[in-house]
Amino acid sequence: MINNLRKRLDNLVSWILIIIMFLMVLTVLWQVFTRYVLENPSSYTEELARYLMIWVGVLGAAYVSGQNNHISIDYFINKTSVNTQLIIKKIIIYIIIFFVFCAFIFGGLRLVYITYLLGQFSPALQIPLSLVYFVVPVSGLLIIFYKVSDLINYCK
Amino acid sequence: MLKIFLNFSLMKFLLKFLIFVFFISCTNDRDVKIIRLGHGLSTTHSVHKAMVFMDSVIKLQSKGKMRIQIYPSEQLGTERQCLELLQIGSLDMTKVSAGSLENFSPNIKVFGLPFLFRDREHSYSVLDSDIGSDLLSGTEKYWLKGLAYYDAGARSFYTREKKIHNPNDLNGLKIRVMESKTAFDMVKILGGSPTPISYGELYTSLQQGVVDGAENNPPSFYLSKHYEVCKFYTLDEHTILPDVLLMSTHTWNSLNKQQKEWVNNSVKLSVIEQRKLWAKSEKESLHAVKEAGVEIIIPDKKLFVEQSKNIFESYKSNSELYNFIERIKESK
Repeated sequence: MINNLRKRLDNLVSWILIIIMFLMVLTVLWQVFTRYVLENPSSYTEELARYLMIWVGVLGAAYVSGQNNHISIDYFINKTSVNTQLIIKKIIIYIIIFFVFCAFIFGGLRLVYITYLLGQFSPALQIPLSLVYFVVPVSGLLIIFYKVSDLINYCK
Repeated sequence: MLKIFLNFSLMKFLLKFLIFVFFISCTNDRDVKIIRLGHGLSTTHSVHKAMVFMDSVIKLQSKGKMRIQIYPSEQLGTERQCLELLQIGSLDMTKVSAGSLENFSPNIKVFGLPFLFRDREHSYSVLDSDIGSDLLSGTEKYWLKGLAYYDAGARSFYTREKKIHNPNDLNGLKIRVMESKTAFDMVKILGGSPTPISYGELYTSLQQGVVDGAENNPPSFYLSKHYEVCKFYTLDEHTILPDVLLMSTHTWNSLNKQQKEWVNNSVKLSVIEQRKLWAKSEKESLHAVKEAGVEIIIPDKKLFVEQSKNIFESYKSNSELYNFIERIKESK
């Protein structure tokens, strides 16, 4: 059941990432076009590209953690027995969940709450910054979901 | 058995060691209150010198019980990031340009309007009056306690090839502006085409001709070495945009009455010191860029004032801001 849900989520997140990446390419192309061809550079493209980049980065980190593709040093772990490997992997997952909960969920929600409460807007686009930062808790939830489902799979 | 015992005593030792380390690090700053201040300017800048002066005043007044630790040159982040750190409560104090602050506290936009002040004396008297302190205290709503204004002079245009004697010369010129809506509108109404570029990329952008010019005060023009590329400096003094010294409200509320008094006193003295230092550095930088072969143009300011006066009308819908505009215009 959980693996089915996981597959669907993977699919959804990867499509969101593809769309954001596509938008980012368009924005940067538009920036170059207005600057060199129209000679009247657009004022909001740089900011939009930056925020899209933040979304790709943070959401991408969640996606990659679902694929277990984050950078890691597996030299030592491969030297131990299979049973020890499993124990170490479980400990690693607990550490990741603890970190993500503190930094992404708790810290991220606090950041979103403060920027929302104090009504901060971006200089060029005038969009609320809390919207941009909202990706942090979302990505945190995704990572926790992936790691919990990993844990369930290990225990089977 | 022996192995476990060894491990156990080792653990005990480590634990004791850690507790020991923990306590030495504590005794050092138990009775010294340290205020951390981050800003984006270099250590040669008059603002930084005034901050060092502020630290020495507060140290003297409190007999060493309070210190200000300064982190210059964007060590703790850009102006925008420093403001966010203040709101979260991770940093105690910062200095930002009013242009950065307007994204956090909308009323500060008023300083970004061109030719708002009649002259420099007018700007000093407004900043020192209750209009200035009203605008400062307005930032408290956004968890930023405004402490004082530092002088940042008046901003003027500098260009690569075209001399600017009147607003018509700006037509079609690409002028770099800060990430601020008022700066954008200001260049637009004067006839130029505004291009937001980050300060760090500006030198190469000027060199490659991505923009034809920029605008800034004389010390920044000199310290950024933009005079190497831009040979014409038109002293039209379109905006008098002060720097603002801010403290996190989290920190401010944690200070006791005595400490607040120390902060206020030392800030007051450092503002006086900074104005002196600023005037000196302004003169020196103008002299230095002249030496380097920059032509300094003193235009008829009235033409620029005439061209941009409609900008004030566009803020009529924002009654709070418009009220400040009127108060400033009416003040002596």
